[in-house]
Amino acid sequence: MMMNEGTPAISIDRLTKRYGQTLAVESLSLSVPQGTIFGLLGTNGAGKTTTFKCMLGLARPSEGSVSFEGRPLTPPLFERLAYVPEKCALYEWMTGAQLLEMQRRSFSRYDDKRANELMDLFALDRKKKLGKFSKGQQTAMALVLAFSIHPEILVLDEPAAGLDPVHQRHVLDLIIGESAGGATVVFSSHQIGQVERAAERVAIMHQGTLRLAGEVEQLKSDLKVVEATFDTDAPSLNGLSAEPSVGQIQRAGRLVRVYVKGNGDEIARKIGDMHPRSVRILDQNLEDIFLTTVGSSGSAMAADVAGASGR
Amino acid sequence: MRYTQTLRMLNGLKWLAIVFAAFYALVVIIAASNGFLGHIPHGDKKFEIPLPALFALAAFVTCIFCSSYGRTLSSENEDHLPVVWTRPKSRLQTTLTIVGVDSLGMLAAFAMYLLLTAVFITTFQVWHYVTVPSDALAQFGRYIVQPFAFYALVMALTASTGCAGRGLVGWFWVGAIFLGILAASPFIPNPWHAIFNYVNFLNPLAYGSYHTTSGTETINVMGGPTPTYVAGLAPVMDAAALLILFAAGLTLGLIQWRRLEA
Amino acid sequence: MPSIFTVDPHSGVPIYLQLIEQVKRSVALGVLTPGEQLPTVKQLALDLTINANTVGRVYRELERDGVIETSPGRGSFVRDNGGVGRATRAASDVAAAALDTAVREAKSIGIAADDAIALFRKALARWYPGSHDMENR
Repeated sequence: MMMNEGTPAISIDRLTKRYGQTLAVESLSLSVPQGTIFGLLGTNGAGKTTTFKCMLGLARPSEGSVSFEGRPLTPPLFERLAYVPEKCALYEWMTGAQLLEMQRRSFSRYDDKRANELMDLFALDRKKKLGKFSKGQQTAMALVLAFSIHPEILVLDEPAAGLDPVHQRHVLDLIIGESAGGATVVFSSHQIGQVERAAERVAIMHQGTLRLAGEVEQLKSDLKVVEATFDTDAPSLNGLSAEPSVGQIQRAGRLVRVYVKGNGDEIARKIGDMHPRSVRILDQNLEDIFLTTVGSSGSAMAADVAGASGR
Repeated sequence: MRYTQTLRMLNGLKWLAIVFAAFYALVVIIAASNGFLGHIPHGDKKFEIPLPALFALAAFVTCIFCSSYGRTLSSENEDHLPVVWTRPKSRLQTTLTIVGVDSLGMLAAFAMYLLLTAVFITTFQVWHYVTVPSDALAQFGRYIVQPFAFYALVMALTASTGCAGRGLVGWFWVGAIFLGILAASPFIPNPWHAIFNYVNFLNPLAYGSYHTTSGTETINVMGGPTPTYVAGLAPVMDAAALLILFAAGLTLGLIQWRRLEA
Repeated sequence: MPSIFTVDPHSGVPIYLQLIEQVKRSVALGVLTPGEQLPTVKQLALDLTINANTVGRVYRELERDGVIETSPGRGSFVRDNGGVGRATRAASDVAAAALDTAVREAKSIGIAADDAIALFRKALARWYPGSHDMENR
């Protein structure tokens, strides 16, 4: 039963999905190592939900393939895989208790004690019909069902959408707890702060393609901004753009910002030789990295990093 | 999905029971207020209720009832596919489970209608009108399969739709009834009449007509005065044709369901 | 139990670096004493709501740096052999990092090296008022 350590829990190989003329996902390759929390970031329409659907066999890839633990997806895998879709898919006419019963009968790993703890954690009424729940409660119910089967692989599409801040934190705690217990978690979220806390690895998608992937801490260490101010208009830094570590260069009057890969020391020193008034190396948090990556330009460097830390 | 489908099926039966009970109460109240209760006149010896006629009505009512069962795959497509398709069961297994549960529901609905009839007959004390012709068993075979064929064709028609399936079921009814009328109508010139007759082979409702003559009286149920081409077949042949429709409907439904994307 | 550590995940500084710095600081300040047991990886991850593998990495690096020791099955403890020396070293690590930031900041806004030294002496005089070094000047 023990998997080879190197076998990724999920690996997506050149996945392409077209809906008619629309290219929803284009040649996406990703691999999610076992036991990690993997955050998928992207603006609306970036292709995250389509990626999840193709992963789980809910939609057929136009090209490419997905494998779990090195094998294609088959129904028995769902015994230990839980999926919480972005839009609640549960039956409105069923009560909380009936939904739990449905889960109990479908999954041999279902744990009633755990399910009841989770119902209490999210303050859900077992006797109430799902249709009478608020949007947030419906999401919480779907999460209860997902976590009640002690899944080894969790796929969560916007799991905290519509939840209040306290319950959002519960969701993060659950994700972190399952992962610490060995589960692999893939989740998407618009709340970059959540991904930044919980995820060990992230992938940033934009317009159907992968723009950046890697370890969060590594990306933070590797992506810096060198900011310099000059007494007069900033000099042309065209010489710098040839440097392999330099990505986007932004100039605004006396200020110049250079997005670099690596710690930025060398670029800072080079700019220092041009007699600036000041030079600073700025850290980038995940939000900065995300915005730079999906921004109109500057993704060349990002893609480069993706290549370097991909697999 | 057996649990969910069973809940859904029982819920349907609950509503059917409520409708039947309300109908019974209404009829009894109206009859009682006109002084009919238990006083149906005995004079006309030729009046009779052949048992297969009751089966035919039961089958028709069950067809109405299973219009909603037949749309189960389609109603799962109203946003529930991510739940249905992420269980450790293949789509084939899921479909077979649904069909199995619904089958029990259809048999129960059929039985409930017969029970309602029995209660009416008892209430109005008319058991002595009920006759059992020699082909009653074969007729029963045909009528018990009819709702299954109807169910499967509704499934075939709606399996790849979402809420649009609701409208389709309505149109299916309109189409089936209209086709039956066209096929039975003596005013249609012949090339067309023959075409309608052949197409009517696919119409599960067409297999429901029952007609018999006893003495000078002709009894027609679900068919109109002119028997359809199809109903002219022996009941066993009808049952076989209905079974083929059932199998074909399920297969078509399943093929669509397996190709469907959430 | 509230954790004695806090991290800012929304900072551009990797969480593991923040946490390593905090553990070292706690050891240096004696908030964590030699022999004291640290929370389990999972517990600390849940307390701080951060990835457990990140916490695992922190513990591994602290062990490599000789600040803590981990014995399988028992947990992680602040090292006590030469604990005082470790604490001193941890303290100087913390101080060095703070000074480095200050000097980098000074340089980035164009302070010349001599001026930076003058500023440093001024700060010393303020925080170490009895220092001999100061009186000599």
